[in-house]
Amino acid sequence: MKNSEEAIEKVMAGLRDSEASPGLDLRILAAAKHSASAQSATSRLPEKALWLLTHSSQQKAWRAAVATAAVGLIAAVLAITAIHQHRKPSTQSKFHPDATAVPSPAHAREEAELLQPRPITPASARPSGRATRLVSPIFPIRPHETRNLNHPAPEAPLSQQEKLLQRIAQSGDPHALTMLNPEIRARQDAEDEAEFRKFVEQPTTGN
Amino acid sequence: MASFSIEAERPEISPADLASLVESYSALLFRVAHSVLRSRAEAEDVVQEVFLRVLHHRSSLLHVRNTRVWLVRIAWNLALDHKKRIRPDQMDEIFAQSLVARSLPADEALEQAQRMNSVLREMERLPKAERHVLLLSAIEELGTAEIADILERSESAARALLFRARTRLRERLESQGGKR
Repeated sequence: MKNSEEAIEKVMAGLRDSEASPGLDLRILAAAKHSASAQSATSRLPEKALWLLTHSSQQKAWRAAVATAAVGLIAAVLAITAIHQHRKPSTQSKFHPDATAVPSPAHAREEAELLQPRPITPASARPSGRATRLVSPIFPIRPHETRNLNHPAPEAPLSQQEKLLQRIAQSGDPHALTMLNPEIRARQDAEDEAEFRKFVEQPTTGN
Repeated sequence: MASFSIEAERPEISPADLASLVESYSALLFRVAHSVLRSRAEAEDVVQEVFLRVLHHRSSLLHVRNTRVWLVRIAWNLALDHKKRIRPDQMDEIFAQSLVARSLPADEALEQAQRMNSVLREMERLPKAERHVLLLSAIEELGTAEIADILERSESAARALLFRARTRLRERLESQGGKR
């Protein structure tokens, strides 16, 4: 009985006599000061926002004009940029970052070959150069080169007149080729007509 | 027992007022929190939080009749809330060891520490209302009327609860001793 009572009293005395570590008051005041300053900074925000709103309402027209001008300027810049990019070949800036740089001699030679006019050959007679080129170890394919080679648009199909001219040129008939020249053809026509008239107008009285 | 009063005309707490509040009540609030938590660091955290809350809700101070009871009630509730987040068993062991006299031999000190720990454990097993009254009664500055006010009970009810708590605790401890 006595032991229990003593133990309870001892625990109660321990709870009663407990003391905080020294400097608790100062720590509390420092924390309160910090909290108060943070709170006042937060509470000032709505006031500032309100002031800005009222101030801006006084200069509403001026700000609207400035905003409109800024929007117009941005739209113009965007439009110019878009037009410029549309005109520029897509392979230069977008896919080939070093397109503006000076090409290497081998690269330049290759491009010159591509740009040179070639004799027209029948499709069946053309060698499958593209296929051999793809697997050729001499010209290893580099991604930017393939893009450059693919850049020119495929040739449009020949018109009927072009096909006719091509056929004449391939046949190599000198007369046909000569007749392609309009002056020669006109002179020839005139000679033919004069010869015909001469034949028609010959006197038949002698016969 | 002097209670701090704030004039109704002053809507804010000045730094001097706050310093006065801290000086007057920090020790009491620490003991209130410590009775629940039995950890010095946790109790100090609670006291600090009490004053921060006072600062944030300073407008409600104007309507407070008894500042002392109001502050103790805040500390009490905050301490109960903190207790849910810590391991009270571990705190009780350390606190029980701190209650034992250092001059005692090791075996006696160990036995006493276990005895104190069992008291604390049995206190925790008491019914909630009895436990609360018992813990608050450990604080010398608080009379029965104030304890009743803090726990929002009548004074007679608080007195009856305290009597029952002590009787129950003693009986349980004796039954434990008899079983040994």
